[in-house]
Amino acid sequence: MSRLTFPHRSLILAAAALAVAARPTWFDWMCYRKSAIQAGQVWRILTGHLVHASRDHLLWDVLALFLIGFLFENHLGRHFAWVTGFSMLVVSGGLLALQPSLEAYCGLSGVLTAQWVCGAMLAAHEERVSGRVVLSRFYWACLILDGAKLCYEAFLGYPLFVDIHRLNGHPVPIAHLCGALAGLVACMVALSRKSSHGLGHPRLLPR
Amino acid sequence: MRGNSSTSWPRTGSFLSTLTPLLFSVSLSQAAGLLVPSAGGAPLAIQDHLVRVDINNNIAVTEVVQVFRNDSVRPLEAVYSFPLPPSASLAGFSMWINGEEVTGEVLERDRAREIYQEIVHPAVRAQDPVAPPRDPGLVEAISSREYQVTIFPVPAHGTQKVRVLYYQYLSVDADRVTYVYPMETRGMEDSRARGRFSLDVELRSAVPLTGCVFPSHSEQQVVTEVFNPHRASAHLARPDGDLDQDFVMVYSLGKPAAGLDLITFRKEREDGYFLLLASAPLAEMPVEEGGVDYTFIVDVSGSMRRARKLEVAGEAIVRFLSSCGSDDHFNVIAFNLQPSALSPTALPNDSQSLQQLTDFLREFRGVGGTDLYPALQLAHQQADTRRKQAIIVITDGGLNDRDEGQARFLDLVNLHDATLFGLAVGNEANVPLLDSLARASGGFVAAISTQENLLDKGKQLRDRMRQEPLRNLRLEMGEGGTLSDVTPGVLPALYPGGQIAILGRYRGKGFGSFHLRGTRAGQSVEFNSQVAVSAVETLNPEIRRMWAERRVQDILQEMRAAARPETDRSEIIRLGTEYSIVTPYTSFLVLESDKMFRDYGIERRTASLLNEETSGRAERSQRADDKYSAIPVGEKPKPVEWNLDLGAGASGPEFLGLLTALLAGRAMLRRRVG
Repeated sequence: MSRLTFPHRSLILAAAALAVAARPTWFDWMCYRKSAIQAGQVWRILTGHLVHASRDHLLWDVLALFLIGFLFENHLGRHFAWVTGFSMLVVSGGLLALQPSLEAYCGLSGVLTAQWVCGAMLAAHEERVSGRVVLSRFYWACLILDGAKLCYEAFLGYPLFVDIHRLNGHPVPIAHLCGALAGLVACMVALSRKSSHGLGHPRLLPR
Repeated sequence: MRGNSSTSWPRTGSFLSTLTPLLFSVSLSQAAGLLVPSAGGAPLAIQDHLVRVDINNNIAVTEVVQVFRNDSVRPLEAVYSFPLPPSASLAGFSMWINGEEVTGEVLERDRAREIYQEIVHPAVRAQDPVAPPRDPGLVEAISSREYQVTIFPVPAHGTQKVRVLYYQYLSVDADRVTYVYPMETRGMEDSRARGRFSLDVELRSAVPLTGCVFPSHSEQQVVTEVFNPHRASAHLARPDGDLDQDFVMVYSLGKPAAGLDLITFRKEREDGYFLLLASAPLAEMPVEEGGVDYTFIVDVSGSMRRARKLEVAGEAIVRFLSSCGSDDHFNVIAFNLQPSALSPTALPNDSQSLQQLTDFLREFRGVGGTDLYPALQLAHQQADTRRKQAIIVITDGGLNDRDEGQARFLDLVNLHDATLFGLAVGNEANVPLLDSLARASGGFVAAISTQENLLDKGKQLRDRMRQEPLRNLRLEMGEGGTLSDVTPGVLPALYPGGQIAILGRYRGKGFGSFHLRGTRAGQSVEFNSQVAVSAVETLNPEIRRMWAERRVQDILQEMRAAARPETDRSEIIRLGTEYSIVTPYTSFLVLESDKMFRDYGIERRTASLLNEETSGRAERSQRADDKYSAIPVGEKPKPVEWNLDLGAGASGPEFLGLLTALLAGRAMLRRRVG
């Protein structure tokens, strides 16, 4: 069974977001801007997720990152970095393709959704093969919970748990859907890699 | 009496309860636009009248499509006239020629008329009798709020379709916003759409909507749909298509406007345009103590006779005074062509004087024209200069100086130390004159439809008047940018509960800050808004022409006030032609084809402006954006406020609570599992 470990990778990602926030002038160069990306500033596809629209937006995203890190980071393990990068690409690509009217976007929440989905599925799988059915079910419940949240957002058009007046930007639920898709694909890839490396087999754990 | 149509969301509170049934149920004829033969005769019949209103964060875009029918046996040249609400700017006019919609171009007025005459002149047409008739249209401003279009020809037993587009900013009154589609004026008989009539409103707001009422129509007439707290729609369809009264919609917002809201538009490598909305909350301002002399100047001309307006005005004054203190005094001056005062000096605010007031107003039956000047003179002559003076003008008429110089009025107002307020009722009130006088004296004007509740408005006026306004306002931009062509040039006093809209241009890129500084009760007050000023902002292109329109109105106002020579028209013509605005010196000319525009050497600008505006609207309609900064008075500005239309996924405290619960749940499960 995975132990509760300090989410140091999430900490690094959070530190990056905080560092960027300390340099407000960087926002204009890092934010996802459709027109700028189309003009060749492709770094915005990745960097847009590190900048935030307001202090509140940053605070809640960073705290959520920590808590999701505590929940899932040890299951994501070495996959954390590429799942993060991959989800940034998918979310930005999804916004470009599915919501072309959106000129600007920022924030970590799409990435957080990817980590939640991928982490929960990996954790459920890991606990199941470890014989800990209860914990496996718990992670599936986490996944269903996130799925319900996404359905709610997709149906109503605005995110759950968000006060848009404090957000200082308008909510983009499709970013969360893209994040979930990225998490799903990333999980498949991670499981197939685990399987091919023989890591997916049941292990004998100390009692 | 007529009932209200209302749609309530949670927390509508006292707002809905204060709206009483209609006081005005007039049956005047319509002014949504009439097509009248230029040679005289009855207006052409209205076949269809379709209105679509898109309100997005209080910027209203109104599109009116009308189809007229010529039932006579010969083709006609016809004149189409239509009014616009105060603060609205005409953005487009098009007509259907040979089945295709053709948009016009703005030219200097004389040249536009010259080309139009050249085409329709019989001698010109006689040169090539076999050529199909060419169908020009000409849009001219006939006053600050009215336009007329000359259309030729409207075929015998045929129809003519026209489209009018206008923009306006709907100012927030505390937490309420009123939209009026003006239809009511007097003088015309046939006001019925024979075919289709519909009015659709699409309402979006970043600040949650908490309620919506339709004082002009009953519940059965308006169908509303609430999609979520940020989006709603209303549909008015009347089977009989009667167009005799304004459509009024009042919606309330979840939080009152406070601080600065900023909207920008900027094209690459050009100076940007901004719309800055400054609001002061009602509760946080010091209330003025009593000891004020109120002089009510009440219009008793013929137009006030209709729909009990005079009686209602009297009731509104009584209600106003009943909320004043015993040390306040009042007087009433009734005016049509001559003024008549209730008393030579101000009366104490007691029940006996109030009865005198009621009896005095009952004497007037509503006859004659409207001449405000002698009434104003009398009010100033009778004023006790030792006491604080407030003059409140209640009128529904065009007054006497609709398009004449305002200098003598301003001289009078500037000579005396009295604050002037206006209550302009209906679509024909001379709002520009009242507004000019009110601004000069530090007051304000409330323009209301006859379908609104005057008693309610009177109370709002009183609530606002008793507060100390912010005066001597000036707008500056901090490091990172400069401002230019700010309109209005002299900012009016900002009353608590009210809002002022400032338009202008800005230069600079990166981070900028807007500072609005003024004084209130002798103390300095400052509003700040810090924004990221981007090189390109494409979402609010309407601001560009709203700015140009306001700038033109400012210059016209200066001309009327004789602060600028009447002959100084070049700036108006430049603004009109560059931004496609119809002004007293520029007109919209519609020609049959692009080739004709080319033949006359007319550059096509309007179509590209309209395209930009349409795509901006389409983008905005995808979202209920909350990109405005809103900084309450006294609160420090946030370190960064983004003015780009920013999308953001987000978490929140509840989400963190859920995650914490999950972590706790997992810890418990782990302990159980071992």
